[in-house]
Amino acid sequence: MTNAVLQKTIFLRAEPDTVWAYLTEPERLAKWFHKPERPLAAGQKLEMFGTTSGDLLIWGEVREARKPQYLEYTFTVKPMGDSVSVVKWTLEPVDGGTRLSLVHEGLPQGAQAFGLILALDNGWDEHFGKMRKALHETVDA
Amino acid sequence: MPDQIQNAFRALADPTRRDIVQMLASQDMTIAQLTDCFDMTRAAVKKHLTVLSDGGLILVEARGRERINRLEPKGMAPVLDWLSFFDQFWDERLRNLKEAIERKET
Repeated sequence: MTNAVLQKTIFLRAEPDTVWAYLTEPERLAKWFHKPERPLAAGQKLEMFGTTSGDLLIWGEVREARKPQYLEYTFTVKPMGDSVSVVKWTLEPVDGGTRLSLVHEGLPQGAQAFGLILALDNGWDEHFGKMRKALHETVDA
Repeated sequence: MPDQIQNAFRALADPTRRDIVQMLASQDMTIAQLTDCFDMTRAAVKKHLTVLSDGGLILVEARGRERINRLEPKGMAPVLDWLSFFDQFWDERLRNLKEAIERKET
């Protein structure tokens, strides 16, 4: 339906095993994303709840989990409606750490993201605060 | 990233301003009308409107003696787009990840 694809790559000073833990384990995910109820593993449902509302905000299913190389899950956020996007993580060992690549594809085209922003619960305000701070502090190279 | 988009996202980072935007989505309103809807002073509402205006999300239009606030669709366009939303979303998440992981591991 759509060709909208996002790609990001970062370098992390940590072994792939460690990075893998941050992508799949609830306690680690809580530090940078949202905390799922149980570790992400193939075939598992992905469910992340708002920190204050307790509402289900993000859901999907883990399609593939090859530790510590590749993780893929479907990803739907509440206001996306029936659209299902896919998030793919690739981990490659490099000198001194890990190259982590993210591909997010199948994003619906058009104009409903605003609904997402309005639907964000309080747990996301903090994310936005951080986002704003980060936007302020970094001058993208 | 263009300043305008940053300002737009900054404007929407606040729950009160998101409420204001939601109200203006259904009708144009004066400061007085908006003030009636919130438990805050007219000055505080005006401040929020200024931030929204800086973000290019609303336009303020003089109509007789009144100043009418209305949504600016052009300003909304970048935040309406899933791609630009998730672009920022993942930048921020990845930055958090990098911070968390490297604080722990080094």
